[in-house]
Amino acid sequence: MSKYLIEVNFQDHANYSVLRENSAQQAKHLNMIPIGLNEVHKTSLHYPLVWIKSSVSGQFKLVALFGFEPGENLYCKNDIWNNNHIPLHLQSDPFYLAYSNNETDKEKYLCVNINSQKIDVNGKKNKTGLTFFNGNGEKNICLHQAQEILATLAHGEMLNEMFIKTANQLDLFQSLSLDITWHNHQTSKILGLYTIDPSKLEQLNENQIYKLKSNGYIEFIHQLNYSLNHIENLIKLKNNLIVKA
Amino acid sequence: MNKPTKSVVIVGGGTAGWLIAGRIAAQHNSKDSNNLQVTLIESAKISPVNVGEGTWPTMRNTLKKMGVSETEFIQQCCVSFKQGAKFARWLDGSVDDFYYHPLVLPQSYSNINLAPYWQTDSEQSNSSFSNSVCFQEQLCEQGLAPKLITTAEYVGVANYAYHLDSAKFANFLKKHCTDKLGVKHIVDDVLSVNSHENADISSLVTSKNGNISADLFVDCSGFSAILIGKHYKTPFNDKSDVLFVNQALAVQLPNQKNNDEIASHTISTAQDAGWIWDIGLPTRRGIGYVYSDNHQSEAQAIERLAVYVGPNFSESNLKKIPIKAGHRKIFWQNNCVAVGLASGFLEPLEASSLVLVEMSADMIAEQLPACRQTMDIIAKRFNQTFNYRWKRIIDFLKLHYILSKRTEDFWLDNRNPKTIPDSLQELMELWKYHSPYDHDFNSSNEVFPAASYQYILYGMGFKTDIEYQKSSLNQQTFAQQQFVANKAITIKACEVLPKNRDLLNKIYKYGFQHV
Ligand SMILES: Cc1cc2nc3c(=O)[nH]c(=O)nc-3n(C[C@H](O)[C@H](O)[C@H](O)COP(=O)(O)OP(=O)(O)OC[C@H]3O[C@@H](n4cnc5c(N)ncnc54)[C@H](O)[C@@H]3O)c2cc1C
Repeated sequence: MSKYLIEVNFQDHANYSVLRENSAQQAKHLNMIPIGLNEVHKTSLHYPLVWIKSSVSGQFKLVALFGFEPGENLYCKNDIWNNNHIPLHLQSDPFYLAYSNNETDKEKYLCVNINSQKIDVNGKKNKTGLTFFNGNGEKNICLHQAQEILATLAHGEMLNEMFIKTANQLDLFQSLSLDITWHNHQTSKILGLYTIDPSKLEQLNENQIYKLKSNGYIEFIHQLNYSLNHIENLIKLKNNLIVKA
Repeated sequence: MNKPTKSVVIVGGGTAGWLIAGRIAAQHNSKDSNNLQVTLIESAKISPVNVGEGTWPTMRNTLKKMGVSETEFIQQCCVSFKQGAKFARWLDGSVDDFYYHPLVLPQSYSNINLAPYWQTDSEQSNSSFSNSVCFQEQLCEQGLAPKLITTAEYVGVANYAYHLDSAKFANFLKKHCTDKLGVKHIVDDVLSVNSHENADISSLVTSKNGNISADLFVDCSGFSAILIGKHYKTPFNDKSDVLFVNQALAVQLPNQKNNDEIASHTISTAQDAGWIWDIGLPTRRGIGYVYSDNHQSEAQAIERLAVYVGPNFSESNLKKIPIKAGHRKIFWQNNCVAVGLASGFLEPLEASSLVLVEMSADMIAEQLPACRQTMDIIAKRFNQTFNYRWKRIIDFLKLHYILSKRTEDFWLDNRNPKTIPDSLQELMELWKYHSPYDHDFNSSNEVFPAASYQYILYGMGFKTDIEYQKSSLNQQTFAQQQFVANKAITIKACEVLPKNRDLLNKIYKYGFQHV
């Protein structure tokens, strides 16, 4: 565990509070964020959802794409988030779940990144902040919410793993390469993105399709593929910047 | 005569037999009992040679066509990556004498022949040919892998082949062929042959399974060559007057530690009467000395190997394999075709044995005679094609020897013009004034690209006299750009690629994706 991640407790954090609506600040240099399958129905309405490979393991990860290169978040302008929906991963910040190393019972701990710009260590004085605890040392709503979000994220991760396993077995992933010509006639070739190949679905037998349907995977796949329409929007956002420059 | 080809029987369960079985069965969808049926018979008494640990990049495509997962293959066959060969002490025998034959073609190879520009470019003159035109030598020198864990299976950042455990590979293929491709497996000894009137084989007489008949028989019985040799007695084209190596001594050394670095190239170190191969696998190193017993006694040869291996050498696990350089003049006789060691063998200098198996498998699987009527036509074509390929390989292997400046008898004899094939002498004459390029090798059946000849020639210090063609060298600027580009690619590749061992560990844990 990093030394900045500390288990949340009343003794140390009685005066701590979370600053509201600071997601843009935190995310302005992120060009993607992990998404769980249980979040797809909402995020697919707002962001392109694509698969990338983890550079450590080569395993697929589902992400919402915010920009075309590292450090570029086209949804974030002047520290304002220009999209109606904020993915759970950003909402959960600065809280994290840590797991005990104990093999037999994997206990979960709610931790806080004390270096996050989203916390105020002296919350009582700050009107906009939500304190971690109330005067009686009981968890305030913000901690309950954080725990809920983190549980949803953990569940999402598990769902992703199961989906990836099935999609790999059926060989559904395909690589997506984007050849983009910007307004200034410069070109970019974006590699390393993957999608689910809809034409592969047509080659599956009834049994396989039935399995995909009953897991809700067919719906997910449609939502994922629908979300790719937002790529065009993302290109537009970047073109706007280029033209102005 | 126009009996359709409905069944193939393969004799031999070494790597040759299973590669042939797998390629044919995959191509013809033999799982379906209405289609061509493939059966493999192997003896439990005669074990496969179980050497042959270096492949060509072609193996990637061969496995892919058989529907093999690269991850499973790497996990189960003790595989490591091979990015070419390092030839040490071939030129003059000194300690720092080495050059590389990498698998990546020279930079921009299809657009320009960089060899003459490399020779005239003063800036390149202190860099080896391979380093000037290709980034792979540096990957090998630094023990780096040819790809990343995020690279899809069978795809490379740099072109690559494999080093593998041959016994595990044969077992892996056996399982894949029988479980997934519908190949029937019979463990039995083939004792003799029954013939039709036209001298075709009608069936094989086995010791436990009676007579086994088929329309086509593939002889993969190794050095015993029971069908093509013992039965048909087709003549052997002896090449021991060109390639002198006729004995092999092989040992296996367990790795000291689990995290020992693994070289991602074959190391071939010249000795006074032959050369030593050194192949690193994740769990062991395979080392062997191939030498000429006309130039060195066995005791001396063992001594050379012992010195190379060092304190871990033990004579108790030494394997001795006599080898005979040469090949059948006719590979396909009647309804029988020989593949693998049964068809011939040359010293394993450029790992040409398994690649010939793959090429044979391709041709047999893709051009399988539809019926007996067309078989002789395909057979004739097969014999022509493979006679050509063996000839090319013999020339290419001999090329490694003739530019040496070593002075031991073995090396002097190798440079005796009487031992150099006319076809190679002619090329050498040409290359005195012209750098090798694709126009020198224009058959569709080539084995080595002209680039390989360049790597050997210029690696061995050969000079082409380009004085007469200087006026035609009008791509100086473009050539210059390629040298610069290669330098940049070299730096970049060394930066992003992981250590060979680290990538293998990741493959054990995570595997590659299909895309
Ligand atoms: C020293 C050495 C180094 C080598 N290095 C390389 C290398 O680096 N790269 C490379 O590509 N190649 C290399 N080779 C060649 C490589 O080993 C062979 O191409 C490969 O192993 C294929 O062998 P095979 O299957 O033809 O024969 P084998 O492995 O000998 O198999 C013969 C099979 O036939 C069966 N058989 C024999 N007689 C009968 C019978 N009467 N009835 C039933 N079954 C029978 C046996 O049981 C066995 O299964 C090397 C060879 C040697 C000798």
